[in-house]
Amino acid sequence: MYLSEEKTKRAVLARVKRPSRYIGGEWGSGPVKDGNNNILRVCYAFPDVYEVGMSYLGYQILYSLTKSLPYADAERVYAPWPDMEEVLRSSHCKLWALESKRPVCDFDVVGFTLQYELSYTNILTILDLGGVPLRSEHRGDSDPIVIAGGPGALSPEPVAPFIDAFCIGDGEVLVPDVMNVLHELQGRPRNEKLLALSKISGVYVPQIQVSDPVRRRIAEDLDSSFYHTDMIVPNTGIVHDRVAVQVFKGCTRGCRFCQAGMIDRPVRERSASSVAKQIDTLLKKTGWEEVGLLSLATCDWTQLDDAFKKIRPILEGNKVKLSLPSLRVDAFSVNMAAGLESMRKGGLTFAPEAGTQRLRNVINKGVSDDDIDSALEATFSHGWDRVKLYFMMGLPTETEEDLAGIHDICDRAVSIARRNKRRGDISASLAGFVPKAHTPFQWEAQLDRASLRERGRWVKNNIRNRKVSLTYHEPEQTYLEGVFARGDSRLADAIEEAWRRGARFDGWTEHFNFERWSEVFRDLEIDPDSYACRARALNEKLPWDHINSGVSKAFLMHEREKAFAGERTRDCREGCNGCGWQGYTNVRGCSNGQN
Amino acid sequence: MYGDAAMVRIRIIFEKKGLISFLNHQDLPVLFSRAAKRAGLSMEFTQGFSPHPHISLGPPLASGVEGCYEPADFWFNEWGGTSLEVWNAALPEGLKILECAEADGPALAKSAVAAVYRICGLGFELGEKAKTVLQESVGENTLYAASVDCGCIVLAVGDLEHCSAGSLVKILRENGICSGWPDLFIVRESVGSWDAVSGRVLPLI
Repeated sequence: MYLSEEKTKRAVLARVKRPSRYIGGEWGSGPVKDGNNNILRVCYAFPDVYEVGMSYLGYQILYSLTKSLPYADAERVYAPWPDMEEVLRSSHCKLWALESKRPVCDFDVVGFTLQYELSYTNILTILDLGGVPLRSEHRGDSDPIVIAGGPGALSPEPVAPFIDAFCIGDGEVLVPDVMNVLHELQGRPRNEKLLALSKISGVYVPQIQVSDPVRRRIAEDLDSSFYHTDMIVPNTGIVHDRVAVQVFKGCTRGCRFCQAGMIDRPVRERSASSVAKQIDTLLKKTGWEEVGLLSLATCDWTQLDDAFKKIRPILEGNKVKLSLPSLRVDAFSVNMAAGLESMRKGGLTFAPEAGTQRLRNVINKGVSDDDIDSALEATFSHGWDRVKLYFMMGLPTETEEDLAGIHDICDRAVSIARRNKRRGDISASLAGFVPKAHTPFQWEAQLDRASLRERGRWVKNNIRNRKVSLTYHEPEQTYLEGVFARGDSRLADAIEEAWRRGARFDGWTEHFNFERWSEVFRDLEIDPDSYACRARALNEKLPWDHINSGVSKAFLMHEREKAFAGERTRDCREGCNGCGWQGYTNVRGCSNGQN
Repeated sequence: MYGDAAMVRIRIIFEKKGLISFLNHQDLPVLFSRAAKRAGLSMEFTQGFSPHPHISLGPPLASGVEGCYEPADFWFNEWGGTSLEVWNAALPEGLKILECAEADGPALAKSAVAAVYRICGLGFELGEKAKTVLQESVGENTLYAASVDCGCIVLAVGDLEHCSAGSLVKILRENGICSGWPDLFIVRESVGSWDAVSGRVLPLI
């Protein structure tokens, strides 16, 4: 960096909170590959603040993967906090990537991940401050190609006008193909690049019409596909400050409300020895004090016991702690957690999701009252004092009895704690249910805001026990999430207009302004209720029908019927349920499924 | 409180330059200990409920201020001839250990009591007026020496707890010399003890 450039950046950084978010230089980042024009320069942009974005494993993997391609280089940028945005604007300074400090507009490719609907406005902040035209149609040959992946890419229309190409599926297999095509076409006109991208299996280019739905692409064998052996180690504390290793993709449980469990099929496991080896390498290279084994349900990993045996010597020799992101609701999981030092502090968290067996059957959450009680029994008998319980409200078919069931579970927790002579502080968290695309509940109406608030209040006001505390989410953010989760491309106008009127970091309560969004919808004559709170007819064409997640619509409809009949669907490890992947992939267990 | 008799206390002198000077002082222990771990060095851990590497940092260096000669003490289970080299190789850009030595004297906090600051304007020169303002406001008990050098003010100060870079910036701002941090580039050139005879801040190694 030239000294004068550093001076400008110093003057900017001296005026913001937490300037270390914007300085880069972390161990494992860079070095920037030398400046010949043949290098395809990719900037991975995370539409939230540094501490959140740096905790996202996906980008650690894609960064490392992209840097491993001889013809490509990766850098990073995160959404600037509003104070930084203000300083950048007032000093006419473009948002820079952390590694080379070059502005975002100087990259060949800018990649976003769509993890959360309420971060969509931050995409616009990054593009605008980075000097990139907001809409695909306004970009020219010298502008970057803007790509996006993540779960949001499976219902992409609300942000489709801002994105040139969506990657549907696992980045490990999509990124090399996308980068290769863009590298071959460096210097060629933009139209040519978009056309070539649209021909890659798993890539959706909104500007190019194709007849068949874009089918999600997956990495079939995780041990032999790319996994990271290097990580960027932040210089300052972040949300998940540890080595992270994904131990499997997908989930076999088939919870009907869970988008991740539907769109990340089939389940694909890593082997214990491959994971242990990766952890050993990562610990040596990063110096981190903790390791997290990540997946949608790590306690379901069939290799877990074996992996513990293999990992333990590595951990003990290095004073490293092991953590699990979430626990299954049963005694087995708690007993396992009891053996992990990192889990001893604080409390344990469980997600029964619903208060009665009836409603848990509707959502196919395979947890019984016995499972809950035995998990609580194990928790308090092992000496924990605190338990956090996650529930949802506004689930299809929910009645007052189901909400009262939440009280029952909390009360049982208190008495189990008392029996074990533990303090037994129970904190319950109640989130509004958001029906998501590609799930059996994608046709349902989301509960309106007034009713959500009323139910939240009712549950809170009727708590009988002093040891139980309950927080419920204010429904406005839930509602807006619901609008975008099943939205179409008309909503892009609302996103852009709300952003122009100041919407930033909508997922952060301190920045969220619902009134502003309401005004925008009113001024643009868009009815947000028609997205969130409207039940769809089963034969209605859905805005995400052109994306094939791999799970068939017929399966989703069948699951919906079973939900309303209160029927469970078995865990697909116990036998194939015919979700649509059977016979389509070579993944073990799915290659010749039966109905 | 601290275990093993075989441990060795190593005092390092490091520099913190470039944009990494915007990293908070309190982020440094974790950063140095992770680097030591990457280098394969074995640090002494504190006992107790939440063991962590045994480290003692010098007086806080404000965010944005470059440090040229910053002291810190680290306790290791083993320390050898190549340890410094491998540790340095595992540090992020901008942080570099310049010297190290086994230490057995008083705690760092007791000996790191004086510092030299160089205050420069970004794009303008500071002169006698700024010097006088600082001299008057800091007071002679705390201010050991002050001079103007190449458009910058060089100050040797004591009482580091109260006389931080932040307090110097505040004085300059309140007296209309600058608008605050964004106008200035500050370097802490040395940290140590004040020697009135030589008129210098003596290093801690």
